[in-house]
Amino acid sequence: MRERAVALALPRTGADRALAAHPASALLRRFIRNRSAFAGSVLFGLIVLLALIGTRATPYDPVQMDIENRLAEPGLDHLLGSDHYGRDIFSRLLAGAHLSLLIGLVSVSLAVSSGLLLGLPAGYFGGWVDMLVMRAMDLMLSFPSVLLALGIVAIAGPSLFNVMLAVGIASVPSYTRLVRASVLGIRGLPYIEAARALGSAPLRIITQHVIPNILAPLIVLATLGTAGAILTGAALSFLGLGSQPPVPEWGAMLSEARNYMRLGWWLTVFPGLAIAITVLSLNQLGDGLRDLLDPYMRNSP
Amino acid sequence: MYKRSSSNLITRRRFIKIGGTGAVAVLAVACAPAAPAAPTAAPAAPKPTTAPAASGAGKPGGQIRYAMNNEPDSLDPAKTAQASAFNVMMNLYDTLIWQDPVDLKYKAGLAESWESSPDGLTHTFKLRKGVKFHDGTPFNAEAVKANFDRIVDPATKSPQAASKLAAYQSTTVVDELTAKITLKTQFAAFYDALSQTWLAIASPTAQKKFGDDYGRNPVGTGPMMFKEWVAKDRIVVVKNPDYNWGPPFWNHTGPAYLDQITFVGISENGARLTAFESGELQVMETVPEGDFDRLKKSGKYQMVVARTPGSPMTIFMNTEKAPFNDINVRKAIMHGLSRPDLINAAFFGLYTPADTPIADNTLYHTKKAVGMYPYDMEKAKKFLEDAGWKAGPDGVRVKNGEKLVVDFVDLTTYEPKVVATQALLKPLGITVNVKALDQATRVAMGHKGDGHMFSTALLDSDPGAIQLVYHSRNLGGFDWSRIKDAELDKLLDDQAKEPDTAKRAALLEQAVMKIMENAWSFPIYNFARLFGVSPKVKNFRTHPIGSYPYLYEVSLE
Amino acid sequence: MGTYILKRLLAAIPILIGISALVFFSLKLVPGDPLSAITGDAVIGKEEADRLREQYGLNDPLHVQYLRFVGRAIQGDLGRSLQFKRPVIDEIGAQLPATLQLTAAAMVIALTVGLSLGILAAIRPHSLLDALTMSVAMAGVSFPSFWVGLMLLLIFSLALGWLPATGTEGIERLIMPAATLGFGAAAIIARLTRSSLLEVLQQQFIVTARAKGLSFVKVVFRHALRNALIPVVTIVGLQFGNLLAGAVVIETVFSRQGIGRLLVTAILGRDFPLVQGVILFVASVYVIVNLLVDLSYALIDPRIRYA
Repeated sequence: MRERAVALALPRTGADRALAAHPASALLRRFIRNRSAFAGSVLFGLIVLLALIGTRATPYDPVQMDIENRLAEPGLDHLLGSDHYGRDIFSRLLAGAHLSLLIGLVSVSLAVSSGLLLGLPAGYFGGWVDMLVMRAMDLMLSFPSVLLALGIVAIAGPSLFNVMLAVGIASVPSYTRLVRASVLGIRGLPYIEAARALGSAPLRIITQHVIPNILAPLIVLATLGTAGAILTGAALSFLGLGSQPPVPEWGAMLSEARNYMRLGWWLTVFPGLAIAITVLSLNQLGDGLRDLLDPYMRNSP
Repeated sequence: MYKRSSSNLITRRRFIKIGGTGAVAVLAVACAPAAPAAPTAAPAAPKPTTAPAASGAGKPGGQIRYAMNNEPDSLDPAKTAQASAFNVMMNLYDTLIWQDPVDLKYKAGLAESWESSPDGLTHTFKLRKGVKFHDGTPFNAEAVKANFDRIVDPATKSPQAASKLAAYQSTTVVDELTAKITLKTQFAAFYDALSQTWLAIASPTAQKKFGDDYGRNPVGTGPMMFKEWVAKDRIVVVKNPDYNWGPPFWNHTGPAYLDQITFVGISENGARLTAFESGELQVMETVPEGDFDRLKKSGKYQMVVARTPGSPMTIFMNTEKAPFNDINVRKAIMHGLSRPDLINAAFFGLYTPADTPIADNTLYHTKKAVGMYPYDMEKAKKFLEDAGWKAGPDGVRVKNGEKLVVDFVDLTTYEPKVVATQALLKPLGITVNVKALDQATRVAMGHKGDGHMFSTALLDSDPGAIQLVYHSRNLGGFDWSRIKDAELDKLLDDQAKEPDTAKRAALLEQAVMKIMENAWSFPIYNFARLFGVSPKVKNFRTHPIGSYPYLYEVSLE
Repeated sequence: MGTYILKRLLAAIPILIGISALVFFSLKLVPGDPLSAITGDAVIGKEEADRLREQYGLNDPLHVQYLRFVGRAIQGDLGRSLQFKRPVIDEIGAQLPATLQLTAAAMVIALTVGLSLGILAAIRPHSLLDALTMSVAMAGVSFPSFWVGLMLLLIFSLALGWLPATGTEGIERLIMPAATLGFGAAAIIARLTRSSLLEVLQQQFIVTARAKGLSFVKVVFRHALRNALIPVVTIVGLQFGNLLAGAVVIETVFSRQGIGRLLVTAILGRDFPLVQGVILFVASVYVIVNLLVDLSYALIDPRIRYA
């Protein structure tokens, strides 16, 4: 239940981080040579693959109870053991994989799009727009983001969708600030000034010149942010605010398993491990991407 | 942290209906009459679930750590309604009279003797001499008057005690040790109410001194004295060396054996269990069902199943909403949900199945209602077919384009029961949505009828308490099946006023049969409190009525 | 500087008011019945429930309840908890020491472990030691704290029986929660220290200092570290807030007393006065900590001055 510190790290301003400098093939070569990015992407790709398989086929029905075989130790019958209802843990982890990914994806998409919608005009136009947006962000930031998410789910009621919503909303300030700072950094650059002088409409300048230039830090933050969102989402589910049974969401599985933890170590070990590995792969990927795409953030945590 | 392991139980007990003849403490059990009509209708006398006190003196000294599943809100008997508070308060306070756990008769407490007027409206209590509160205040008739007047004062905002004294008019101090209590209306359960710790006598001096904070600084006459309360961590009580006014059925006289009891509230099952098994605790309440058997088999602990009387754990079906507005669908549940399977899946087979609204260890339980709806999947399916719910393509039944989907709203702690129900009703073509929520939310949803299935048990020695969940007066309250039945209301009202035990039994039987015939609710299992006790703890036995342990009797090896 | 602090504190007031109103009214949107804060588990009759709602003022319109709260709060009275039947301020006061103890211990662990790992890694970049420490740090930022806590419980309480699983008293009950909570923060601090230190070590004045013949260790600790710590301080401030938030989960996993559990109990019980009080308190602390972080820049980095 911690926020990734990097989520708030701001890029240096005034820097030109045009992607155009790196032709795609060169980028790919560097990507493969970057151990962190490569390992992370392979691992994450594998998890995505398993999640895709998990929505179609699992060794056992993930919600089918089998009281005779409850609490079976990991072995040939049940690869990772069975839970207190005799449900196969491996099948449940597979079946739940896409949910964790979905939490990350949906909440970060929400946060990124809101961040763009708020941060672009704030940075580009400045003035009262900027003031209004940034005061609102200050209000949100006067709370640890996890508490904010907790509050939102408490109000909206426990459900997986509300968790995505809450995690997304709670991370909007980070993206807004990043986008705004990036825009501020390039707003005064000669070619933007030139475009303006040529009479380009603000919308055109933003889509043609500004967005491509802030894409790199945004991708890095979004990758790391997805990892953070999965963690926060799992924490909320662990607190009983997420999906409702029998949905095999990993945080919820852990929350359920906790009451039976002394009846079998495998009940708590594997769901947590699944979350840890997924988050780890995304963090590795994010670290690697940062080194590649965003040389100015290379030395951030 | 959203796991509350606390049960949603009522802890009121009204046991005895006193005749208006001036007889004092007539014990319904002792004079349970023959059946008024059919022999099957004989009110079953509850079997004492507690053994008589063990003889032989225990060794004085030592202390125990006792874990409950939540921290009490207040130790002011007038201001709490919580079972955990009752648990602690039983050690700090005495009541005017006590109920013997074995013969179920009322015995002397702070009152040595008592008598009632023929009209049942005035009750005179001769109080025990020489009793002192822990703060040195003498116990007398003034104290009784001060306590009872305070309870009914609206400013006290009493959640439980005031309802016990709903009929209370006034107390007259006849002399130092004689208190005369006058009632507004006949109130047959008066003696039962007085024997409950909600109506225990607290020091009026301390109540004045601490005002609103009295609940955190309780002063009673009981065998243990309050020492400290570290919020969210522990409540410590220590031996009262002067104590020698306990009820006659306790296993010894004089001060308690234990020097100190530390009560801790640990709501997380796993955490409470870990603490118990690592030897940090000597007594643990609410052992998780999955671990009970394991601990018992280990042979290292005394494992106690203390059944509680009242209503079994019951699923209430919202009769205002489709599909449960159709009696056929309700009957399909009655036949189609297997109790043993449910108990096995959710509770590791620990509880005994129950199929009537009044549990079989409770007064006026009727055998007539037992086995009315045997488990029979074919019958259940037929009821659904008759109701027009036909099998759909994905196995879920459909009627007029609507799928047979119901929301089961319950406490997060009760999730296993709901998940098991979900799995067990699936073969019938019924989809159960699990709504596992916190107490505040799920109670509000139940009160509003927002959902199809709700569940609760009722912990009460007096079966009349079923009115709390079946009387239309409580619609918008705990009448979660949303029953509005004038006939049932009348039966429930009449039995509450009926002084004759035989007639009362018959009325209650009619009420129970009515509930059963209409398939308004689905009783699941007999509720019990599960204790884990260290082998070092001797003489651990529980009060049969609320299953609270008499820690006064406990000693350490 | 005094004016700056005053300005910052004054600016916090509308934020706090905004938060309190937001929290108050949005909590009322939650479907739960605040009466359960008073009656707990008990099943009670509807008439009694209605009487209690009236007696506790729960039937009053929302704005009346809110104004009553604000009116009292201005006089320093946060009201009484419905659940615990005593002043909210006492309830917070009772829980605060445990949470402070936990966050302080976690912070000490985070700083010592985080800084040493970060420095170790930066001194020999791309060595085995670097890879090892950074792997630990990666685990720290990736592992869910509640799971780490459960694993510690599984190992040290259940399997080995070395440490008590629950409770608040004593240092032995502090070790696991503080380690769990501190682990994540330590990882972040370690990563930042390493990268920040590496960056500083490449700068001109360090190169000059080395050229002047100063030993590497001396350069690191005398010159580089001071400069490298500036971003670390920011993160430490932020981490403090996150530790507070993390305490909610950790206190639950280990059944410790504390503000986090108090807040959750209050939310679950719809104990409005208590929720209000705790939220206001936590937000105030957060605002003050952020202010302290800003001020501490001035101490570390003399270039920054406040007008």
